[in-house]
This record gives sequence, C-alpha cells and structure tokens, in this order.
Amino acid sequence: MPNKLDPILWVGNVSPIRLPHFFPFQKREVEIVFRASCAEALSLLKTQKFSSILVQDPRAEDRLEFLVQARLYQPIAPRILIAEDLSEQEVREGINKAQVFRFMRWPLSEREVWAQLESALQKHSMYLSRSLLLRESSHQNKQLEALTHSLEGMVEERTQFIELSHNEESEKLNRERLLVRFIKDLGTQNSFEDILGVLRKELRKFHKMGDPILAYRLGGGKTFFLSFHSGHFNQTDTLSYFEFPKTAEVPSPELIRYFANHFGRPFIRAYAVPLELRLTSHLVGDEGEAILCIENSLSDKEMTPFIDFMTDRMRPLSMALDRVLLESQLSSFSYRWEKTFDGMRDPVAIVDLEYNVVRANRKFSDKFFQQKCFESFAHKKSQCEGCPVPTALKEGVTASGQIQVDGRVYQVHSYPVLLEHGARPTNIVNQYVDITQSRELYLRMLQNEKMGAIGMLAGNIAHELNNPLTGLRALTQVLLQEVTDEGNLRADLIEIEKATARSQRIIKNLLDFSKGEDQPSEYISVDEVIERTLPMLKSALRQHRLEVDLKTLGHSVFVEPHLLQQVVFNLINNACQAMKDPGRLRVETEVRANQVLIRIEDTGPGIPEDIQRRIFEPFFTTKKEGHGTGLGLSMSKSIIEKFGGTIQFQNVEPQGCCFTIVLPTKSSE
Amino acid sequence: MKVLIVDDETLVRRSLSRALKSKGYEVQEAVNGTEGLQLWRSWHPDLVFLDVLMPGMTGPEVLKEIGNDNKAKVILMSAFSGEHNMQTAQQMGASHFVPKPFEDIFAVVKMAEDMLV
Repeated sequence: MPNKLDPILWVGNVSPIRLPHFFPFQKREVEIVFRASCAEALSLLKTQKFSSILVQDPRAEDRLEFLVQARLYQPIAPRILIAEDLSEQEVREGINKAQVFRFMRWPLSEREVWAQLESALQKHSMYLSRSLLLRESSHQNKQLEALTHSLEGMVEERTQFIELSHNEESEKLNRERLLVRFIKDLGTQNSFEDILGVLRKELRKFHKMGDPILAYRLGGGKTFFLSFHSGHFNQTDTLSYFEFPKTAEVPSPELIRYFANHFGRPFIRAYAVPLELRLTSHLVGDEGEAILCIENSLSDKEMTPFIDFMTDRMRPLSMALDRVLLESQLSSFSYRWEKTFDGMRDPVAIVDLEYNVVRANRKFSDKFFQQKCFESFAHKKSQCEGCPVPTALKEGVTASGQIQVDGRVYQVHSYPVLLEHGARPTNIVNQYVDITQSRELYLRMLQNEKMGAIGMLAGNIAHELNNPLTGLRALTQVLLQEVTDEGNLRADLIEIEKATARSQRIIKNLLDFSKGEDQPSEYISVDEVIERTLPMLKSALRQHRLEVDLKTLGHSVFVEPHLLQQVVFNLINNACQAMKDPGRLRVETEVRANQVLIRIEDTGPGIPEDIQRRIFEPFFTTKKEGHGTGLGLSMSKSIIEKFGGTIQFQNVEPQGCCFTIVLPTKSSE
Repeated sequence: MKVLIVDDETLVRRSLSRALKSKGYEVQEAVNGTEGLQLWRSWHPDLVFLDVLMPGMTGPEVLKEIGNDNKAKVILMSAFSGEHNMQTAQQMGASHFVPKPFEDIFAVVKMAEDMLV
C-alpha cells in the first residue's frame, strides 16, 4: 500500500462543481478538506499538512496573500489558483511571491480541474518523494559523515596506538640493550669492586642513589660487607647476625638498623635484593647467602622504574657476584693448598701418564721446570732407575722406590690419583723424600759397627801377637848380648830383632787405627801419618812399584791421626785396586806456603769423565755389590774438609789419576 | 838376690831370666798366676816380674792374694797399656809398671837392678 497522502485543501466556492470528499489518486483516496474563505483556511495551514492547496476565486484581495502564506507554511503542497479575473500583474506576483503551480481561468471544465489537481498531486508526490529522498540522502550523508568521523577517529587512535607501541617497543629494546650491555660489562669483571662499580655507574641515572652494599655469608658466623666508603672500596665484617630477606623489598626497619649499626651512620630508605649464590653455596655446603642493599631517597613514583631496573639486573648480578665469590673462595682454597704444598719440606709433583709435570710445589719446581719429571727433577733423558711410577700406574696402588739425583738419594712415594673407585689412575702424585742423610747415617753406622768389630778383633789379635813378639825380641836382644863373635849368627840375630821390631810397630799402628774415635786431634806431620799407614798396605802394594817422596817432616798439621790415616789408606788402596796390571804408585808430600800437599798418583786407567762428577757422592761405587760401600771417597772428603783442607783429583798423562790433598799447616806454638 | 818371673809367655820368661842370670841373680819362673803365688810364698823372692793377663789367676789377683805378706818388690807388665799405668799398678801394690812390648830388655833389667840396690 502506498503511503497515505495528505488531504487536499479547497478554498472557495465550489459551485458549479460537485466536490467529492475524496479524490482518487494513484489507487489512493485523497481526502478533500473544504473551506469557504481564505480566512477560514488560513488557520488550517498552520495545523495540518496538505498535499495540495486549491484556491477557487474567493475575494481577489486576500487570495494572493493566502497563497503566499500557504507557500510559507506548506512549501511542498502545489498551489492552484482558479480565477475569473486574473491580471497579468497578479499572475506575476502569484508566480514570484507564492509560486503558484497552476493558474486556471474560470470557467473551465470539471475534467480540466481534476486533471490539474492530478498533476498538482503528482507534483506534490514528486516534491514529497524528492524531499524524502533529500532527507534520506542528507541522513545518509550525516551517517557517512559520522562514519568518516569515526573512521578518522579510529585511524587517529590507531596512529596514536602505533606511535605509542613503537615508543614502547623502542623503549623496551633500549632497556634490553642496556641490560645486555650491563651483562656484558659484568661478564668481563673479575672483582667485587669492578662489579659493584658497574652497578654503581648504572645506578647514577636514577639520582638520589646511595652506593650499593653487598652483604654475604658463607657459613660460619661472619657476615661480610663490601661497600664504597667515600668512593673507596671497602671490605668489613661482623659477627652479629640478622636474617636476610628472601625477596626483593624495601627492607624492614630492623634490617636498616642492622646496616646502620654496622656502618655507624644513619641509613635512609633502602632497597634490598637477595642474590642467589648457587655455585658458591654449593662449595660451602649450601650455606651461602647474600643481599645487595641500595640506599636511595626515591619517591614512590620513582620507585617503580627502579624496581624494574633492579629486577632486570638481579639475575645477572647474582651470577656475576656468585662467580667472583666462587673464584675468590676457590683461589683462596687453592692458595691455601699451594701454600701448604710449598711449605712442605719434600718436593711434590703431580705427573700425568706420560710423566709430564702437571703441577709441582715450590720445592720441586724451584729447581728446574721442564716438561717431564725425570727431565726437570733428575735431568735425565729417560725414566729414573727405581722410579715407582710405573708400578703405581699399573697396580693403582701406592708405590715406593729410590732414585738418585745429584748425589742425593730420594725415596719416591707415588700415590695414584683415582677419580673413581676402580678406575685407572689419571695422575700420579710423587713425593720425594730426601733420605741421603739418613741412609748415609745408617750405612756409616753399619760401617762403624763393622769397623768396630774389626777393630776389636784386630786389637785382640794384636795383643795375642804382642806377647810372643815381646818375648822374641827380648830374647833376641839377650842372645845378641851373649853372642860375642862377629859372624853369621850375630847378623841373623840382628835381622830377627829388626823383624820383630817392625812387627811390633805394625801392630801398634793397627791398634791405633782400629781404636778410632777416642783419639783426640794432635799436631803431627803428615809424613809420619803416611809412614805409619804404608806398612798396612804391603799386600795391596805387592805387585806395584811404590815411590815415596816425603818432604814435610818439619811441618805439622792439626788432625786426628787415625782419620787422616784412614784417608791415606783409602786413597792408596783405591789406587792399587784401579791398577789391574802391575803399575807404579807414587806418594809425595810437599810444603807450599802455609799448606801441606799430599799427592797420590797411580798409573791406572784414570777416572772416566762421565763419573768424575759423582765420585765424591756417598754410595757411589764402581765396585761390585758387596765389595764396597761407596762411602770411602765421600767420607775422605768430609774428613779432609773437617780438617779445613780440600781434596781434588785429576787424570794425568799418559795414564793414571792423581789425588791431591791440601791441608793447612799448624804448629803447636 | 832372688827374682821370680810370672808370665805365661815362654820367650818373655826365658829372655828375662837369661838376662838376669847373666847379671848374677837367682831366678825362678812360674807359667801362671797360681804357680807364681805358690813360689812367691814358698821361695820368698826379693823381686817379682808379674804379667797382668794370664790364664787362670791374673796378675792383680795374685797381688791381692799375697796382700800384706809380701816383702818383695813387684814390677807389673802389661800389653794393654791403655788399661794400666804406673798409677794403677802402684795402687794395686806393685812398685813399678812396664808396658809391653819392651823396646830394649836391658833397659828393663837395668831398672830391676836399680830397684834392688
């Protein structure tokens, strides 16, 4: 159903037209409202809407005025004027002022009226629809405008949002960049001071910031504080205890007081961050804890970014401080170990499977430091004889052995390092105990005991021999007295007397020699000592030619004669043993300035160069096992040095060796 | 003058005895301490040469045994000169001490002669 149209207003005389109540228009019934005069109709204009207004010749003077009003009030209702008299001016005014749709001259047919009315209604419809359209379009326009507005708003909002998020993004990026730099900075620091210094530098951007204070405990009753005191790094500690907070927080007044008490100054607001000491804690038995306390006077508003800042940095700080703490702990541990090992009297070295020295204490490495233990310690090209390392490696148990280095004898204890029970050793710890002296003492004791026994035996034998010799000599002397002739008997008796006299002298010397120790030093000429000694060497010298040239009889030295005798005995005995073939032994003495020289020279093969350095070493011997203690020359050397002298040797041309003893002359005056 | 020689060494006894006899002394020999003690008591010598170390009774033991009965002068002889000397010999009741071995037997005989004068 099309919309209902407003009624038609008909003003004026209707005759002769019979006016229906409705006018059919486009399948609709349009009501016709009738009013006789303009004055009557005028009020309707203001209250009711009309689809068209038709004025039929009321009084000429007010019809135009009414139409103007009608135009004013009902602009879209087409106006039709039916009049008998229509001046040109009236038509012009009608058009201009009232915009009359149609002028019709009366009389006219009814059909013409209806036709005009129809077209007026059409016009109205058109107006109506146009105005509807206009309204619609203007509404749409408004909607569009609103949409545009909202879109613009959204765009604006979006733009703002994007800008905002961009800022946020870059801020976040910046924050992360700063954090990364912080972490990087921390990574290169190796001391508390440097780490706290990095943090301190970072904290400067907040202003109103105190210096960070690190407090930590590692078990035990002590709490350590690391702080900056007027710009200088400071370490202090206390025995008083206060429980550290477990979360980052503005610390309780009690904790503040704890800090204030320790540092002896008032503390303003602070912020405390607990640090996780995972590694260090592990090392000290899960008892490590630490907090970082940062004094500040930030307002609540300023606090938030600071807390964010600290939250970001808490973990890297923890890790860095943990690392440094661990390092300091470890290095103090290892320092202590190092000192312990360095303090040991014995050289200690840790070697690997290839004998490379991994670590060594000062005693070991101060000597030499090379790759292999046998190079650095024994300076040999290969493994030392008697080295227990192979056994320790093979068996995985502690092994011991003796090695000789530079005339020292070391008892080497090799302790295998087993990382796991039942595993093969990865390293060997070698402890080198210098047993030279104790071994020397032991062997010397053995020697002394042997010598003591021999001495006692010799003493007994000498005494047993002395008795018959005394009788023999005495009887010979008596017989010589009784024999009167100058014949063979007397000469023979003289020879017997001499032989017994010599035998007695030898026995006396032997007794003196074997009695040893008890004899005190005395002023004696070395010639006398040599003369006393030579008869005891008769058998050794049997196959060699002996040349003796003694020239120091008037000069004495201050020695224990039996010891000097022992040295001379040793040297001559060695010389005789060195000469496998019959040779020549020369013993000579001479005085040079205030020294006495004893030279003992043989024609043996000389001393090979490779053992020359070692012949005075105790236990060094070229004789077969059981045939020499290796103590002879070393004892000779120490005896001569005890008397303030020296003993040296050199090989001589064409062959042989010459030992020279130099002793200072001393006279009893 | 009677001289008793107590020594287990034959050659010592014989040499002393010959030397003394040639000087005109009456000499008796004993081969050990026990025999020496008997002769000393029975024969009453004027001088006794007494060895320290002998099998059986030693010289000092003989001296101790004879004690105050002794009228003779005693010369103690020893090869262990470190153990005995003039002082210890005199403490034991001897008049003189001679270390063995002798350098010259006639020096010893001369000493004995001097003692008997």
